[in-house]
Amino acid sequence: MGAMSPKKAPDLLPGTLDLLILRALVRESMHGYGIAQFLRSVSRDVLEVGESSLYPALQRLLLEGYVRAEWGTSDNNRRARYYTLTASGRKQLAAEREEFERIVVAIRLVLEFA
Amino acid sequence: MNFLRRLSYWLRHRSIEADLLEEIAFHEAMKQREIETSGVAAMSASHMRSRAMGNVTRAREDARAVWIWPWLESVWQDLTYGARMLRKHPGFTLIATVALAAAIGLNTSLITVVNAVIFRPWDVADSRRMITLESLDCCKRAGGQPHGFSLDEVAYFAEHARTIKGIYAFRHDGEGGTVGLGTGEPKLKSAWVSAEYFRVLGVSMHRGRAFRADDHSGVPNAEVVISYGVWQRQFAGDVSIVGSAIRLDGQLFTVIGVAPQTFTGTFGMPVDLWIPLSAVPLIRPDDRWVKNVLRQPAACCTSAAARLADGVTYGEAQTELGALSRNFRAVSGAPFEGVFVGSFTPLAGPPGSRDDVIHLFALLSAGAGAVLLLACANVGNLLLARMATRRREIAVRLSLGASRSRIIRQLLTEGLALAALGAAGGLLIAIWLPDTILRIAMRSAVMDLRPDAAVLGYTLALTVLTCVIFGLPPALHATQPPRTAGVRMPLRSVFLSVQIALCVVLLVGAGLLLRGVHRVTAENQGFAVQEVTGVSFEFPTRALAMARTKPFVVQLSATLPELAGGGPVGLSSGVPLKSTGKSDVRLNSESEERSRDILIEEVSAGYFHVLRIPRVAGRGFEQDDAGRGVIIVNETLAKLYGDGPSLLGSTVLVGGAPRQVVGVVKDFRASSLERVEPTVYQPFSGQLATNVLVRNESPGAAQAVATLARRIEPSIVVTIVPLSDYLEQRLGPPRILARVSGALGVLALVLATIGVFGVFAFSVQQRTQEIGVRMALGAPAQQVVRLVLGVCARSIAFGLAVGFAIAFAVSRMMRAYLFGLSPLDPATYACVALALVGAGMAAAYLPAVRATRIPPATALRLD
Repeated sequence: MGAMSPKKAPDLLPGTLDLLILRALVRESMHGYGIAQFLRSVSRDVLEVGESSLYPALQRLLLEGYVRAEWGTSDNNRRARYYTLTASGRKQLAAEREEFERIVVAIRLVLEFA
Repeated sequence: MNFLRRLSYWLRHRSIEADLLEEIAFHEAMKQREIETSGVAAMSASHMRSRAMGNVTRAREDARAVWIWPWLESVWQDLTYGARMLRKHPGFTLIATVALAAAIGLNTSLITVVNAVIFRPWDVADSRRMITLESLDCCKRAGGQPHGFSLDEVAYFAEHARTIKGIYAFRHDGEGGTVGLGTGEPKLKSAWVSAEYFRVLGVSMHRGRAFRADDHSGVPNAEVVISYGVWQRQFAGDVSIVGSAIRLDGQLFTVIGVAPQTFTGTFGMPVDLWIPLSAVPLIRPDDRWVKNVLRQPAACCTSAAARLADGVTYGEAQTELGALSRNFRAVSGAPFEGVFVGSFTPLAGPPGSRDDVIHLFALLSAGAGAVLLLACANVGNLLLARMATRRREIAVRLSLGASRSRIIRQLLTEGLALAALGAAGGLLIAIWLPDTILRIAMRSAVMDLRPDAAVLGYTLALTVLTCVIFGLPPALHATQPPRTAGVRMPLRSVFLSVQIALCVVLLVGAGLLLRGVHRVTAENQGFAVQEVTGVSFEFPTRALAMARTKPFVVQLSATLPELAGGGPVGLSSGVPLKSTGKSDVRLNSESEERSRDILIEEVSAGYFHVLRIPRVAGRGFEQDDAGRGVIIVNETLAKLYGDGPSLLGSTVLVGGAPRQVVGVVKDFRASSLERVEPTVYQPFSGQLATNVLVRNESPGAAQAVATLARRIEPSIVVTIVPLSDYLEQRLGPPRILARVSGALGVLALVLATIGVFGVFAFSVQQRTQEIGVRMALGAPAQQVVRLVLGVCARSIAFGLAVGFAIAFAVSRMMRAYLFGLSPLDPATYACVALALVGAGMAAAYLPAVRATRIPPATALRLD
């Protein structure tokens, strides 16, 4: 799949948002707002993800079959759509994570070149 | 998987978008609450939210675009890319398009004909709601052929049935017989129909009006509707014809209407005029059969057709009409076994009754399908060769990150573009071909043969199917990991074998059919077809025939011998290849249930001499046999009742009357081209019909007989037809089948030759380097050629073997069209093998020559 169109958060590396969302869903199912909250709080307010990048990313993950969506009830008793990681999503997370580590190491090597 | 999810998105996109909208709204609400609880004023909170979270509408649009855009975009990319590839290789595109167009065109043509014949054969309003009714009981002895109803029963249906909204009766086959205008010209074909005919069919007149509803008064309505053709030919399109009186068989009839040009009746053959059933006694005054049909509630053999009421199915109509028929027959006393409701076509009928036509269509469909498969294999092979040259391009794209499925899809789209081109060409063929075939076949286009929506849909489906058959395997193959690149390609061999095998099957089929038809014309039918001419006589009116037949026959038979000048002359009730009179026959010792329907022919003493039929046992007819109650039988009939001569001298009941067998003649195929039917010959009396057979070697004999007949009876209508003409008429349909299949066979051979050529040429091209090296090292040309051709030898041999095996099995199904030719006819098989070897050599010649001319130096520099 060569989907390239929708924009990602400008301050993230390409593809990183997908990785972060998958990671966010590892422990439990979350709704979109919950994912945004999770990313912000875990990153100590550094990663602020807006709807215009979050929801296209979620649709992309749905299309690829990495996540599954179901309607449920939120903590404050409102109808909310919960996303759950699928088996292939888990696999993809592992693969992307490994790739990310490799790149981070590579970038660090370049930056720290004395 | 991805594709399926996308598909499900297309199917459920409304609900998915609603979901998206709702969850974004939820997100906003949550965000607002958070900001509110942090203590900022709601007004500026909304403002902040927009800034912090981005534009909501864009979020929605972007999210939706994930599903739709990339897909549409890539399809468009594939299409333009495919079109570019096709333009870049015009030769390949042309060959592939022509092959596909021919195959798709053939299949579409066939389905057009089937569609026209089965689903809308006649130009009536909404023919799909029309049904034909058949009674399953009547005339069981005639082989279970369903025949029909009495007029009273049809009227009973009209009154009580709720599942139909209109019913009419007609004489079975529509052939009410011929009527004369009294002008000495050939008689016109009339159909006898009930007054509701045109109204139920929804046919409005070109001029004038249709029949008025029958008042059942029993008073004949002397009215007639004429066809547009008759109006033009006989009455020169005279507009005052409506309302004027014409004579039919001497009786005055008023012309009340002219049928539209496109309507020639609802029968197997076009008819010239329609006469109401109530008026039939006027032209058949003394016919007891007619009286019986018109008056007897228990009479059989009038057919009926009806229009279904709205929303009623065939099954419902069949149930109701069956019940009504049972009620009616309980009173009338006619035997009841059920009513069959069929579609409104000449091919409809209870299971089994129209097997031969269905069989014919099945054979042709199989042939056309085989050609389609062959074309697919052919194009598939060409594509494979192309793929091989595109290996590098594909490898580059794969390594640049394109997924395999993405490339397969692109290759398939290219194939689809090709198939679409082929389908366009095929449709052009289908617009022109069926009409041409039927024009040749029936000498009149009575059917509407334009492809309709159903046919277009079929072509579309065919296109996609061909695209997948010829496109998918090469695409799968080309995108495989390149572990076996350049080595043997089994897929190519499979395609080649399939082509060869199908070609063999088609050629064998066509060869057998052609030889079968040829055999009939060339081979002796058992009598002198080419040497005899028949002279037939008909009285212009029924009344005249009743009064004058006897003296006419007496005078004619008295004068004939001297006229022919000693040459043989025969009188008979029927002409060979044309006669069909039957009667029930049984042995004196047999009970009535065991009687069989046997062909009956009245013949004079000279009949067998003219036709050169040898006598096997007993004697021939003599001059004064007429009143003696003697018969002659053919060998087949004699065998039917024991072993030949034993029947001689015994007594047989013909139509209930005792007859003594005085002679047995050798078999000849007088009624059918396929086989000899058991036949009984009675001495000529002239009561059935009068024909004179003369030999062609005495020139002017037929004319002399005609002159003589006119002298005896000035008003007599004389027709002179050589027996070979009847043979030609009989051979029409089988000959068309043979020619169509011959065309299929030639097409198959051409396609297969192109296919084999392509494979050889490609193999030479691919191995140019290797061949160059071998030549440089001193390999003789012979060895190089063997190297090139050897590649495909095995798959060709395999294809031949499989093809002959299939042909072996299939040819048995064509027995009905082979006229006694063995399905394993060695000459046919030998010819096919020869043709294939020839085609194979032709296909191999150019590549082989090219291979031996490869200059070693160039070959080494290549790549």
